[in-house]
Amino acid sequence: MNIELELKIQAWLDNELSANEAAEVAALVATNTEAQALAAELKSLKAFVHANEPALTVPESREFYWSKIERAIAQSERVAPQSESAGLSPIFAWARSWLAPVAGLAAMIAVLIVIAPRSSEPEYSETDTPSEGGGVIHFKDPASGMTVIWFYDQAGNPIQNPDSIDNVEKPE
Amino acid sequence: MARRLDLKTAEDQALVRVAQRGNMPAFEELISRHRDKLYARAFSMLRNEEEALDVSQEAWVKGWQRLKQFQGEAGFATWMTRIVINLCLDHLRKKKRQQTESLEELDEEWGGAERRMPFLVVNPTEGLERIELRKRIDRALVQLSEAHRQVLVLYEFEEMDYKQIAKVTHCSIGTVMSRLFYARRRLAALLMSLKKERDSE
Repeated sequence: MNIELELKIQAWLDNELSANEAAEVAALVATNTEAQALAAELKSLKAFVHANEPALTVPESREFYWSKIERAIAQSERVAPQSESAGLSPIFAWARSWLAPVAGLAAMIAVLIVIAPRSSEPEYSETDTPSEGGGVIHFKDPASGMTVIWFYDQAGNPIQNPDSIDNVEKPE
Repeated sequence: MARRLDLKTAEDQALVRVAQRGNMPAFEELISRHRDKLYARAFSMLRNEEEALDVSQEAWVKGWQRLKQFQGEAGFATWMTRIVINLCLDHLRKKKRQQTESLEELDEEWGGAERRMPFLVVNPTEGLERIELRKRIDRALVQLSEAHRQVLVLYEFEEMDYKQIAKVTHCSIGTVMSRLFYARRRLAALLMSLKKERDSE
């Protein structure tokens, strides 16, 4: 007998075959002595094992066994609310993980802007005095001791000779 | 006024309903009723007292956490036993990852020497008390490989069919069939040798 046939006989005893297959195996077992011997062995063993599961009892007292379970339950319930709160509000979790550092960074930048020395700010001054016929721009840079004055007409074009215009206010 | 439930005499279903509302004493009563069965099943799978204790206790904790999901399609003890079986299988998988499968085990998968042995007509009940029969089975189960014992326990004690066993053990049905066959043939041989030992005493 090959292994496939042996497994089929076992499956027949375990009620795992279709009606057609079961009929084929039953016919084989009825006529083949080797198949009969295997079926008898398996049948006897199945019944014997099934009815005699080793009976065991917990080797600890009821109180001690329960106390360990109770402690583990209490521990798991202490952990659960923390993870639940994180799980129930994903937006809050996202905000906490992303917005908090961004907000911190923004606050830091704001503080730096307020307290930072203004040394980088330009020391020079520039004033524009527009009037009807044009205007005057007055630029002064004390660091380099430079003063520049230029005149422009109504269209904003520079005027080479300011005396040629009358209605422009000339600096002293 | 609601009638107070007598935990000692209440049926499992009533205790489950009360425990589902967070009543710990009702759950403790369920544990006291079924703890031996769960422990025995874990021990049959793991063959280690300490591991069986840990896994059975872990199963009860999981049972409490999932109690609201229990709808009562199966009995409470059956539901709990499935939890312990799954935990045992996870435990064995973790252990197996740490070990390499030996050539002997591979040989067992497809049937070792026992497959070629003549068929035995086992009559183990002859002249034996039930307690002695159980001891004999227990001694024989120890000598089976882990993979074969798993399949045998799931089929004979847990009453799963081939398909269910294949699903929980992550094996093909063909593997389940060959493992079960080998386990039974080896068990038959072991029981016969135990019987011979006893007869010669």
